Amino acid sequence: MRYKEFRVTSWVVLLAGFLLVATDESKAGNTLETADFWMESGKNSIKAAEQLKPNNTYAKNVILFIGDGMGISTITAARIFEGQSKPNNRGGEENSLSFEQLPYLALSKTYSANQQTPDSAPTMSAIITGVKTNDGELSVSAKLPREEKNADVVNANKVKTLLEQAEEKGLSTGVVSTARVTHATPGACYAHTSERDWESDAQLPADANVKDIARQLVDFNIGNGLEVALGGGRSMFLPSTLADPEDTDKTGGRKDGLDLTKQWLSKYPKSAYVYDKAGFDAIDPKKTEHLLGLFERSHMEYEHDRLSDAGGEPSLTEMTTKAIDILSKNKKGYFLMVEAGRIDHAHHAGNAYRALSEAVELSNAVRKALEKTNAKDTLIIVTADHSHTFTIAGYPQRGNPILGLVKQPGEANFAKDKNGLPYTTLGYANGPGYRGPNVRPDLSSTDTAHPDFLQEAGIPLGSETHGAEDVAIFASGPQAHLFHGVQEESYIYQVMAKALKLKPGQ
Amino acid sequence: MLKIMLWVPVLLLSACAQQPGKPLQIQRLEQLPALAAEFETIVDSDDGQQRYHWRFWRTSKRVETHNLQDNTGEIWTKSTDGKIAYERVFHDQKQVIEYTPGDLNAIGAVPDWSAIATLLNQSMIAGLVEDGREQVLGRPASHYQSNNADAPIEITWLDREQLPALIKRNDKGHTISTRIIGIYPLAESPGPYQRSTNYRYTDFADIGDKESDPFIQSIQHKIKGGHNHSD
Repeated sequence: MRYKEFRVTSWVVLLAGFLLVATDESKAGNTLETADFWMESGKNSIKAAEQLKPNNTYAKNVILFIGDGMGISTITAARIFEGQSKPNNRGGEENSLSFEQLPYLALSKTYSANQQTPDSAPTMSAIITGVKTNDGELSVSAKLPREEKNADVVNANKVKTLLEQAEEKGLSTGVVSTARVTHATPGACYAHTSERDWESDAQLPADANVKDIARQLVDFNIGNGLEVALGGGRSMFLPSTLADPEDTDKTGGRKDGLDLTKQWLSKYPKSAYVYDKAGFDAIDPKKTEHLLGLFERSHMEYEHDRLSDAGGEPSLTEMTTKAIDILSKNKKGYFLMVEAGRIDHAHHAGNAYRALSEAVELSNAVRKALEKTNAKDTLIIVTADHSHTFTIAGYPQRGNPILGLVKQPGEANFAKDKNGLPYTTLGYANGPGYRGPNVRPDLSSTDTAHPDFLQEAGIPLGSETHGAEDVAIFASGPQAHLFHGVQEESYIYQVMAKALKLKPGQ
Repeated sequence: MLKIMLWVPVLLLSACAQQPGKPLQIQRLEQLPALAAEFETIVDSDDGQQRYHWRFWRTSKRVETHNLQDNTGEIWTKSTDGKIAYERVFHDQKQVIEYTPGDLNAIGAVPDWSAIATLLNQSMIAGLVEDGREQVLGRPASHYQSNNADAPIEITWLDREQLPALIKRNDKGHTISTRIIGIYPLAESPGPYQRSTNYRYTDFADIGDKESDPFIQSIQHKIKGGHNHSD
């Protein structure tokens, strides 16, 4: 017994010693990072680069991942955020998100036809149609004025989307988003409208004769219709006379009395409609040809809050997996758009924790997609529609908590501003995190890594704004090598169309 | 935090020294009686006097206020799992900004249902002791006072209705007095519940994408996206 106790104690001591070393190394960040280490690391990267061979074949499948608002600073911070959660990290900065390991990269110029800093409507329109348009408009030409209510005029200015072309070619198609499936990014894939806000008939002007976006999703009549639509936005599909199945004290939002979920079910054989995690889990991809999943009345929960949702929701990774399982039954191939829609919302709220955890979940979804597909026949693209005013600043030491206060190398105390107050590494140029007009608060004893902490902002705005700088495009698979240099955002469409052997614009 | 705290200026109060006497006790929140009430808030300062006439409706899962001066309101709802959602209502424009529980978390707002439903928060109650009884609008009430010299406060509490009839405090050169002027069964409220299907609803999460929307531009200064941390 005593021996046994000794052994246990001894093991614990050893383990504790190991953890101490690991922790110490983590803080120091880089005892391994000798000159030889960097030389070896560089040589390995050169070898990998030399072995890259362009895949000039056509793609069977294309998966387009959009991190809404996922600017480069978001990617960098998310990389460190995830890296610092890993055991034996060297500070977290050395980490790579799944999509950062894709072989090809370009930058994307995101301006819209009428704005230097765009919103998600024209940016996704550019990505999915190859044509830039005005803010607030989905997959129409820039000649169309915003809020045009005449269907004939809108139809005359439609620009065909890659999803529509894929359906015409007989491919299966799907959209997945953590935002409403009628929101700008998924909406641009299947709908054409002069106003992104017309998501249900309740938002349409009384004298408009155009179809709302939810209606366009269900009425979509190209090919055999979308096979998968997963996300939030249930209220856009249910009538105001019907209680919501999860939030039973609320109703649907449609005023025309239509229950579009029923229309989906009656339109498609072997179809299903689900609104919670249990229903989602029960879906057998082998037996389901058309799946509509609407897991919230509006946007889905943030990933951080998802597990506390009453009805339960699938993660972005789980939705991506199910979508691929359904779409990949088509031997001709498929096109899938997956959006991490709430990176953008968290940034607008000035909440870096949630923005970064959403970006990490996008990385998880991409990793799963890479596992489930073959790079020989599947083009995978990961990009953002636009950036935000999110910054990584100061001179924090290696391994400094990315959500923490800046502490410079070798310093015992936090770095101070001109008033002698510490500041966080992460911040925003504008937004709700503004603490003025008086002197900045003393954050010394504030848990700035708390999920609900709002990073400081320089200019007071109720909602933080988008940023205009370029965003990254990561890619692997057929034609991925065409992503190089600095490109217009609309170039992404050209590469996808070429990869799927589609005639651009037709 | 959010605007309801304008009428209930309680959050900045520190706990007061305890005195012998009966403390104010709020009954179980689920048992708070449903009712409607009207209040008047008067803010006196060196700059003059401001008056606000406002209405209040309460059920076990919903609290609504309506400021008749600027014709705006707030609605708080509590779901069966205890999560709290919030709506900022602009009646003139027939527009509502909706905050889901996740939206509130993301902006660092931590709603306190007790404070929402009773207009008093715990730190405020902790410093109060009863110093008399009276009748308000023909209803029995208890009078409480704190002796915090930095932020003195007095409250008249309607025992049966579980609602303050008076909140009076001095803070930063202001005297803020909120007094009940009417109380009604919910069905006999002088104003109707303001929720309407004709109103346009906008998610708080979507505001950032509505930079060109004239209504959103006009209310940016009225909606609080900011946090509520002690920093």
